[in-house]
Amino acid sequence: MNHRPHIYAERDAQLPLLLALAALLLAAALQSALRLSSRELPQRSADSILTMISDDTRRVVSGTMMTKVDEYFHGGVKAQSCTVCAADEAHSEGAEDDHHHDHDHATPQHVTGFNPVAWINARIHAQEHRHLSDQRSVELLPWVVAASRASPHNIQAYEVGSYILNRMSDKPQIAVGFIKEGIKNNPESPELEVTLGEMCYNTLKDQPQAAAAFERALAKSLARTKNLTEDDLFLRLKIYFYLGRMAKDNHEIAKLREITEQALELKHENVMAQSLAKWLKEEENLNKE
Amino acid sequence: MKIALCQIRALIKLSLLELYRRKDIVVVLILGAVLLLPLSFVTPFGMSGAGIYFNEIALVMVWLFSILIALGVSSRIFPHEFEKRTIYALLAKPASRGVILIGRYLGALAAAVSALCIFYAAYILLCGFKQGVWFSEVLLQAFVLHVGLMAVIVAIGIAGSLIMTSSANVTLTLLVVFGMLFFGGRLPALAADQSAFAKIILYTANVLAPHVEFFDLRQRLVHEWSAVSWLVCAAAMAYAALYSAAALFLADFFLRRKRF
Repeated sequence: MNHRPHIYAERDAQLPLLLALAALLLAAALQSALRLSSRELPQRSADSILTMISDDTRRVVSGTMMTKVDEYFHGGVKAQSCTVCAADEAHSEGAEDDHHHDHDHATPQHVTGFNPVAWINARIHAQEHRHLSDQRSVELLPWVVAASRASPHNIQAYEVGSYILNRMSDKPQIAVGFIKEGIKNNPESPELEVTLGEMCYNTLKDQPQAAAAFERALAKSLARTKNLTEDDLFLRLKIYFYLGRMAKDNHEIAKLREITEQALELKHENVMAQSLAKWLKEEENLNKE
Repeated sequence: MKIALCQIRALIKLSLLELYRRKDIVVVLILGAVLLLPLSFVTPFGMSGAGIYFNEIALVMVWLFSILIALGVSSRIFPHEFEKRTIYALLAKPASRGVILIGRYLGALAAAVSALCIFYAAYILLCGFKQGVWFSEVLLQAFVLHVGLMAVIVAIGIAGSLIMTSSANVTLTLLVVFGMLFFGGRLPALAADQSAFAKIILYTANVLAPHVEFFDLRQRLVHEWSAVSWLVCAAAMAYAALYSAAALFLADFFLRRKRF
């Protein structure tokens, strides 16, 4: 004997109809998405739609994990929570920023009059600006590892991870190992070669390894010819800068001259290109004497 | 009055028994242990000492499981009574509809809070062994405010169960709770950039939707910020009491209009 009320029986009867309608809508949406992907979306012809979705998902997850690193570094305060910081950054855009703020966030300045919701929220959720100390930098590493595992093509994860290991945790050898893993996963990236070169040059004082890394970085950077951004040009200048610096250290004037000419051709007014020109002049004067 | 209290006590006992008979807590505890125990042995690059990530994931689970338990308990009370027709037996006791509502609400809340106590005990044990910190003022405040959250969710769950079907009620309440958890504190700021129509919707949501973010002290607890003033905690708990009372008035209104 069925004890279900009449109203439930009616709803049950409508369920197959609703499911069929939902399936039709889903099929229509998928069909238009597939048609769009094969013609209009920028992708390699060999990529299947599943590979694309999976790669994009991994990239998004990895990016979210990297925002966690930033959040942990700032004591759990999300960048979007700090409205005063956002205003400060907008005002001080382009200025030298030491990334420290002394303002009091307990009372949001944009709120006029008494707002009980804002009052409770501002007190419940910490919004003051603080940084994780170097001694506790190990707290950031689980998310860095997770981000690099989620998407091995997340270059930022390798850069940030190597910075934490090298500068904050004072483990340069582990940092080098991590960045080499990144280079293996992203063989086309000049950014990671530059990071490796900087670590070898500045921290490990291993000039041959640094020079090799910067040479590889230059080759990879020059291989990028399409859609060059300001960041790409800045990176190339940075490579020239370090290569010139090492040429100066070794008194290789011909190499320094060649590098300086290329840097000046790329961006004449840039401070790194100007430094190279200055070093070249110094070396030439030294050579004359 | 004495009879009403006895009836309420019996209803609370019934709700507690029902929760523990269903073994929901055992399932979520096993699930939590399966997820957390391997995480507790993570040593990135062979460096030990990282604990914040573990603390945070454990608290996320406490939050998620407690919300699911509270909503599960509250949303199935009345539909189950109507479906099995046990509501007739309760009304024939005789217990008024108001007493049944209060009794069922307090019963569901007691069940949800008892589950919460178990979750927090497990959390304290896990984090205590891993990080060596067993108790702090922020932890106490986090628990107290979490009880406030349970009170609000149970009240919404019960009110919703009298208006909608169980699945619709659970889905909608979860959407509102998680939506407010993520965006509740930023609704006025979000509304400022919207069109007039969206502005009205967001400002209305800011007034009517439950500000569950008031009860979220996870950030302070995980990142070792100082404790909040107890006055702020009292304000958040007063909000919980007011919101729960409003939801229960609504539930009472619909229960009285309900024809069986």
